[in-house]
Amino acid sequence: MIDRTLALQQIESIIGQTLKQPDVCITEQSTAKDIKGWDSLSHMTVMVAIEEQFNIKFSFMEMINMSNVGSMIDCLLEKL
Amino acid sequence: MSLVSVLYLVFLTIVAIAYYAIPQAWKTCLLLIASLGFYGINQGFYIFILLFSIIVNYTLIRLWAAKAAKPWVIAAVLFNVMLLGLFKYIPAIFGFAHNPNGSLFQRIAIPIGLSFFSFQAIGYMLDLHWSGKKTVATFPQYSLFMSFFPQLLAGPIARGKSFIPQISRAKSFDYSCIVAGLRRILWGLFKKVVIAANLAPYTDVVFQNYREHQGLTIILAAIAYTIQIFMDFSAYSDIAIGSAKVLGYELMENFRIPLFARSVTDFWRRWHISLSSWVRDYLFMPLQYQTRAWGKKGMLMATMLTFLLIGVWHGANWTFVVFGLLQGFAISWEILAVRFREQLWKLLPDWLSKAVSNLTVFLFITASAILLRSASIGDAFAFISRISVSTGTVYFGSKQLLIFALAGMTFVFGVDVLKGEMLITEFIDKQPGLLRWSLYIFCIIAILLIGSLRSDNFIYYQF
Repeated sequence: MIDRTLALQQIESIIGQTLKQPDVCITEQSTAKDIKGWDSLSHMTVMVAIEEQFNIKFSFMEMINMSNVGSMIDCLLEKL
Repeated sequence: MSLVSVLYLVFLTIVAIAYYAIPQAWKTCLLLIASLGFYGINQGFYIFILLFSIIVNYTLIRLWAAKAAKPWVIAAVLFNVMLLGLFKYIPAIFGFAHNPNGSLFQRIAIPIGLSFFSFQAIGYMLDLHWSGKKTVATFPQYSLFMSFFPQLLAGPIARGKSFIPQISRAKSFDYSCIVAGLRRILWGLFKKVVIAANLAPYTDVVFQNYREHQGLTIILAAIAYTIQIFMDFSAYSDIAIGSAKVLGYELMENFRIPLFARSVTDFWRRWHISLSSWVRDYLFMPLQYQTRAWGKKGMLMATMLTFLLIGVWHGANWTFVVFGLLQGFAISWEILAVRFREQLWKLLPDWLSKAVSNLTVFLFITASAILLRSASIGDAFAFISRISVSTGTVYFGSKQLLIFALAGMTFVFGVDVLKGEMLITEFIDKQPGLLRWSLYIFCIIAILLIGSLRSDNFIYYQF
């Protein structure tokens, strides 16, 4: 069973790889605006990479209602 | 009643005095009456189109709130698209283009602001449905959201989730708020009457008679038009945002120094932000979600369709379609060549890469803007092809007006360089009192002495 800390670490690693930002630092309060390169064009690439890593699917409504990385983890843990 | 008129300033002053004098419970009602009155004065009979849109949209929202059923959302989107089609696209497609002296059908014009309030209505319904929250605005709140006079004619396109909560927030007289609003209005008036209105006679003459002008004049007019349209539209947005601020409302910023953008993607994040963010949230994101299995191809398709809509939003003319597609192709290229572009810019010193990328984007936007100004694609190509003509003298029109506009531009772009990403009101606020007052006096004197009130309409009213 994956916990919040592990989920956060894995998400940080995925975002770092997808956005080519190896030194990126993510917290549960982080939003796309705080992270260099995370914009509307790269957003779906990040989300698909997270879905593939955890083998889950987010619905569109879930995706747009994620206010920060913390709410993304909430949604993700519900599906695991 | 133009936003650039003494009448509008008197109207705003009376509304603001009454607004702060009456109890909170009556404020929404007052703003609603003022907004509908403002639209009625400007648009006469077409106020019934606005009222019809408000009533139908609100009924559909209430029906949705009762059962949260998707068909009501689809009905609301279709209703607004049909309303836009009926006034904006069908007459042009079937040859009933507006003619005040023509047949009954031809006398029907596009109600000013239709594209803006229809997009607001669609956005509000989709926000409600996607959030799943059934907390719906009251009818007066929704009516004010749809008709708020500062933004009614040409945006910024408001979002229900940021505008509606502001309606019920208690508002008392706030000196700093009024000053910030007035500063913004003054800045907008300066851009409109000193720059845009002084450039308009020159661009009008050259674009209307381009076959009589040689290459350098064509290039100058195209550049002048890009600056004119930016000054004109951002001036309208400044006056709208400033007027709302006087009444204690915050509207979305619509421009963030777009002519300093370093890529076309960056440009569209800075130009007409309320429209570009609207299409991003309600069209691009859903499309991108649906096509995400296709990877980059899906993203490119979503990008092209999004910019096609931005183009078509401007009106029923192939020039707007081509304008949208050009933006889509440019951004698709930037997505595909992101690494190549990064490597390329690294070859140059930072200042040079900034200058080259700024200039490239400016020239691309200038070339695209010719399509917005031309009556047809043929006209746009014929205009561009005149660049190769070297015979004849360069036309400057009224040198006096051009010098006024040039001086105004130097001033505005100079302030833009100094303030960077900061908002103009924040920038002015940070200056010492003497400099601040010098700036106000300079702007007022310039508006009165060299400003032109010849063209009091804004270019974006036609969209």
